[in-house]
Amino acid sequence: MKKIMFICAALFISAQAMNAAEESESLNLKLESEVATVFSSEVMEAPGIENLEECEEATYHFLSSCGNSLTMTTDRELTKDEIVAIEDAIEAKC
Amino acid sequence: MNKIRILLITVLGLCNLPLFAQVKLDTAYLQVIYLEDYVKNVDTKKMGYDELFLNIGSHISEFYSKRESQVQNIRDSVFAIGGDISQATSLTADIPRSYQYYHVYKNYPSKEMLTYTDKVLFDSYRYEEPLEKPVWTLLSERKDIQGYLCQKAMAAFKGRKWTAWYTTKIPISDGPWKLNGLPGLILDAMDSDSLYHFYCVGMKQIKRSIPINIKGKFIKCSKQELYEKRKQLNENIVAYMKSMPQITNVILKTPEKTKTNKYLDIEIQESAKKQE
Repeated sequence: MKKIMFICAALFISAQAMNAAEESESLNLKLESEVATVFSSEVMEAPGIENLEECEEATYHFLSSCGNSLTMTTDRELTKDEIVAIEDAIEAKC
Repeated sequence: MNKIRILLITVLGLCNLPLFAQVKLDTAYLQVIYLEDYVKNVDTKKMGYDELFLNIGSHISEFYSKRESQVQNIRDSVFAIGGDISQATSLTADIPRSYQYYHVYKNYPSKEMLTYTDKVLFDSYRYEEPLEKPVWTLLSERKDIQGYLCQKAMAAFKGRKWTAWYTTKIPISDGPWKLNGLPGLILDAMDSDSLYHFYCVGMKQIKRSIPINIKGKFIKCSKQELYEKRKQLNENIVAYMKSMPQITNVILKTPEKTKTNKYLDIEIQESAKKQE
């Protein structure tokens, strides 16, 4: 029984470690990709994350095609779907 | 106890796997294409335009914006392969946007029921209601639409007075949005205030199968709750965003450009009637 428990726990931990590695990789990719978007016509500046390890808040600046400008602070990094949802909501006001 | 703990941890671990909820409801055999002209802003009379599909299956039909569906599909594909927002934006830049995210499923989840889904900022909502059939007055006027002889009908429905043109040549009791209940397919429908106008610009019998799907994770709500959320987002985007738990602060730098507009909905809700 102990052996089974040990194997299950080992499998679970390795799966979590892989997940964490992927998440950390995707976090870096996301930040890079957002910076790229940020300087496009849609968003003005980079998300204001100064220190990745101590990141508690993220700031986003949005600018719509008709000049609506919005600054937003979040308690976590937003997903790509959430960012485009906000871009759409602001653009829809034009 | 340990067994239970391990089982729980394993299940929770498995829950981390990305799941893409999509349910096939039916297969469409006919696709009707409508254009819609609608008033976006009742004060400025600013117009919006959209292109919508009515996919008709043996049991269920789905009505939705073709343009918004295209945008969402492209984004989903780009994000699924690890693409970024700028890539998705550049691929969708040429698609005219309507920001109409609603889908109307008639005869789902069961016959004589209707399911309505919509997205408000981050969240998708869903409600069900009985498939209400308007009490139509059939009139003798006729006109040709897309080569089909159509007959006029009028009805009060969901708070507005609608004039519809239907053809008995296509004996399907369906139409754009929630409209239905005539002895043929509705090819043109407009409300008496000329705020919403749907008109058919084409249709095709589908040889390859087009699935009628319901896709995504939805928050079940009442029609009134969805209306209130849409109204709040439309009237005060900052207040709406501030009410979201993950957003700690929002500053609108150009409030003059997002003035509070009177919220307009195709369906007039009971609460809105009382306010008027």
